[in-house]
Amino acid sequence: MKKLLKILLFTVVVGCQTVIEMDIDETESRLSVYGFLDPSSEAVFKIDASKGILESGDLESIHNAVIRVESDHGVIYNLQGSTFELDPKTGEPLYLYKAGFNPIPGEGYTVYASANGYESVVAKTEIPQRVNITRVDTGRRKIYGYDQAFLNITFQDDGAIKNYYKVSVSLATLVPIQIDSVTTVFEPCVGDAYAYPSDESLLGGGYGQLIISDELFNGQEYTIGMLFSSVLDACEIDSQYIDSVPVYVIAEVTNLSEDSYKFWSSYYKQLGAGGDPFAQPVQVYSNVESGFGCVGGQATSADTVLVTTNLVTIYNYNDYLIYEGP
Amino acid sequence: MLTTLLPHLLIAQNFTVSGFVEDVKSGEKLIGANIYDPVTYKGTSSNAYGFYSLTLPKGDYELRASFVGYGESSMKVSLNANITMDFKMSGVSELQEVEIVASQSKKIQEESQMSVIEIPIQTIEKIPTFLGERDVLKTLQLLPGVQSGSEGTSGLYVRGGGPDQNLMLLDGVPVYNASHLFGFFSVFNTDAINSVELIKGGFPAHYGGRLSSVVDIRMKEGNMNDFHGSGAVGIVASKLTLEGPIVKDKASFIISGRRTYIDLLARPLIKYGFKTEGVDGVAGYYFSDLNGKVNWKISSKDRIYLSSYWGDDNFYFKLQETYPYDPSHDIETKTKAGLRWGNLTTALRYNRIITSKLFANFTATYSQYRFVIGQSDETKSKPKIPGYDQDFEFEYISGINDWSGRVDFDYLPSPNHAVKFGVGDIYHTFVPGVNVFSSSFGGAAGVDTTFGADPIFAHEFFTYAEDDVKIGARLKVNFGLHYSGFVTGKSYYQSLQPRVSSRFLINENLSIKASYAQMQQYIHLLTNATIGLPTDLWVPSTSKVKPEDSRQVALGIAQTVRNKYEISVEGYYKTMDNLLEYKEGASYFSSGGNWEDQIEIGRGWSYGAEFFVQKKVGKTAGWIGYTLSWTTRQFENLNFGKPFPYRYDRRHDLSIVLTQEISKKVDFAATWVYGTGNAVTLPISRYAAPDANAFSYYSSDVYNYGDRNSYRMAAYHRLDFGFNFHKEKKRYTRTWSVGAYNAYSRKNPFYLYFQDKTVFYGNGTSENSKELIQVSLFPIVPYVTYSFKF
Repeated sequence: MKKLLKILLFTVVVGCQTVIEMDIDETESRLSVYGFLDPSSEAVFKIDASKGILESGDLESIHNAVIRVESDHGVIYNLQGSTFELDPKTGEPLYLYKAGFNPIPGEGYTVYASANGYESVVAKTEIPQRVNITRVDTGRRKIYGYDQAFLNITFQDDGAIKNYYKVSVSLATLVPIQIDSVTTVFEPCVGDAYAYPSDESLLGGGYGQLIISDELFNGQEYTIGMLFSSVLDACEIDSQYIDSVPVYVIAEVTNLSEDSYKFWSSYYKQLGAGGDPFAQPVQVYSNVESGFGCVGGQATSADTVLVTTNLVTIYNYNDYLIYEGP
Repeated sequence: MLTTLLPHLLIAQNFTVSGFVEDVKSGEKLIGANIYDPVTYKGTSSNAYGFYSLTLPKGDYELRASFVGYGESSMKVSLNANITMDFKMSGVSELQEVEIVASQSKKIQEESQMSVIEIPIQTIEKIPTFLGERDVLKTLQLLPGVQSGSEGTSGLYVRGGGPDQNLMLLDGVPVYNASHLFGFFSVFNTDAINSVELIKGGFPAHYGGRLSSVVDIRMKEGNMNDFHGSGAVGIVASKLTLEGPIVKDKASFIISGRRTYIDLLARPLIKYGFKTEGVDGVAGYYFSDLNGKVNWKISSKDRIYLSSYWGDDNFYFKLQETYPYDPSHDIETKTKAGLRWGNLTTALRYNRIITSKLFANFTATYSQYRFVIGQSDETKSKPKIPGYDQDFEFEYISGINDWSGRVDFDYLPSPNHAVKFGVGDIYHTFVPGVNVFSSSFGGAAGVDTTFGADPIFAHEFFTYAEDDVKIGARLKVNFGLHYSGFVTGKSYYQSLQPRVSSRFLINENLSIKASYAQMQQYIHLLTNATIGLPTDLWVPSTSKVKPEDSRQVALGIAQTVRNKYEISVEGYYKTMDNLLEYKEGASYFSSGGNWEDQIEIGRGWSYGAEFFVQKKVGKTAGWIGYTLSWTTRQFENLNFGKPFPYRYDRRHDLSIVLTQEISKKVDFAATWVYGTGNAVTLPISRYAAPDANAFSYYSSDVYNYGDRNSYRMAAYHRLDFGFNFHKEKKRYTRTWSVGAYNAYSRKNPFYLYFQDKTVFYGNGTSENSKELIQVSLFPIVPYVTYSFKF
């Protein structure tokens, strides 16, 4: 129906248009810096250069930047030049700056970055404490007449401070690989869940994720319901093992710093509005002074629940359905 | 107020002359005519129903009446008792005393009210317009303090306010969507209109419910004496108006209809187009409207009026196709889709002259705005294949319905006081979006359901009192209070709104004016497009969404120069709270769920200066209006909480309007407008998306929009001109109107967007980039219209 309206509008409005080119001022290229500092992993940064909207070509990574990270307690880490590795998901090259330390919960960090030909940038963030996941339940229920797998994640919010959360769901299994007629080894494999919150008013996070603040449940134990139509398409499971492989649901609740929360929520909004000419423009938040991007803190808690295979739908790597949940 | 009035009530030797002021030929009431004693300069003016009341000391007088476009009328009266006397006035075309009329007209420097502009309907009829369709709202856009929206649209943005902050009254009934064809035409048919008044500030207490302006449009009543008609055939639409007495001098009627016909003309072509594709189909668009009014003079003291407006915009699309299913069966599919919206307003009014000093008006009104978008599909087998046939139907309906009643009194105890008071209630029913869905498959009963937002019911009530009082020879003050309340569900809001407007005469021709007005608005329009989409949604204040309110102060001078030119200069400062905007990323096409979750609440302020010089009568007439203004919005969750320019923040806005009577048979009119470009939000750069730590699969660029509305479109300017050629025929007068909109074909910006482009290099490589495209709607658009009057 909305398509029809678009067509009608197009007919009326665009049908009479004349098109002319206009000039727009070129904008100075700036550094974009990303670093989401989590105590569970080594601090990593990525730096690229922005381009004016009318400039041609792909965005370029900055390989020779100098980064200095200062903790609130005066510990200084200096990083010079990026490493090179391939993005495990996309296969594209990644130029990362690895800090060689794991951030400490509750600690504040200031990140200074500079590169020849660009204005130096600075960003500050604080690493939040991990959240306590108290319970994870799974099952199936009817939603709008359709049988849906659900996951309830319960966690305790700290009422003393303002908290922001990212909730994500993924699936994992142990893929049996027959080495010889006797030996079978099990290799872990993680698949993605097409998950979304059961409360539609919470929609707006990214793919398989939910970004929320504790505004509605400050200081309380809170349960978030996620629905997921799940697949394990990245895991090559031989059909003879389909009834015997264990399937795990991995529930992650990441406590985000305010910077991270603002960045992710605005970024997902911009993505969601893409392609709709009537959508209000979305400005993506940045805490990088004189630049773009976000240096944010986060602390991830995860809980893994073993479920039966009939909770999920399993595809093999060719997207060929080998097992469908009820 | 009573202590002020009491001395006047106690003066025994004063008597009152009262009655109506009307056109001598048609009996049409003249609103705002001046009635005065030329010796003492004590006087009054006729109200919205043409009624006047003037109380003077006992004695003999020669009272005069004057009205723009009419010759002066004088009548002798011996005032030794309260008497009734009607003034019947003749148009200047009969008297040919144009300059005299100018000297006797109501003078702006003498009025206590400021920020008010009346446009004679004759002027509106002369001004060249888009495709020759006379348009009240587009004429109002040519006034200072009033900004148009995008190219061609009829939305009004008054002193930094939004399009929903204008109270559009047609015979006292609010009209919620005042535009046809996405805003390119307004719903008001000039043939049926008697008067138009725009109030931008210093609002009298009898108005309420909107923050930024009142557009008070009064329909004609119909000729009491003779049967007359008029009509026009234009490029876009044709219209016909008929009026005349039902019972001579007792009751009259007027009916006026208009319809576009491009759909009818294009229908054969469209059908042929579908035929070449092997299907039967038709598609088109039209709008039509109908104004009607009857009035009945029950006695010299009682009158009753019934007026109604109905308007409809309709997009339609029908497709029928038959194809073979197997050697013995055919399948027939039918698809229908449509988009329809329109207003219906009806007002029943009863006027009663209770005493010569007290006039009462009782009004009951109904106003409906409805938007429906629907689609149906039907698949049938012939002959019938069991279990094959299916149908599907979907409709989305939104709108607002109002029932209202009000009582208004005009009390005129002396020439120094004009008191108004009244009370009223509006019962709103909001339909913020209902989906009706039905389907059946294979002959089995399927789904037939209605879902969506529930209707919301609300009462909006008000009471007011005001007095237009003269204090000494130089000072005149209009002060009053407007109290209003709003109840919906468990939410209750109320507001006491003081209003004051005053003038101080420096000399006979020059006055200083000042005003303060506080306004409250309980209903809001959710709109996220730059054009007047019918999908715009009227919603009420709720526990989450508070009423909008504003405070406005204005200061100015008003002067009449050489009895010909009215000059006014006004400065204003207005603050607005609880304004609504869609959240970032929200869109009609993507938004779902509760509308309250889609909005942000913030504030705004606007200030500026307006310069206006107008010549209303004479062979050469017109005006120059210039506005210098700043309009800002601030929302906690938009633009990171920083203030940003409103989309229609327009630093400079200039309009020049000229009408010239070349001869009795030919007149010419031209308008030129200039406005600073609209403020828009555009991406100015792009940077990498956050894929470094595999938080997301998205690897598209992030767009940096800079500050909200920080980019300015190119300035808007346009020249329109037109000639009217009149000729008296034996039984009628005909007029050919020819002219052009956007005469020098300026490519004015309508909207901007980025388009991807690929640059190919000589070595076989290529690079992708973007270019900014400006879309302009209308180059020069000539028009020709044939109209007639009999």
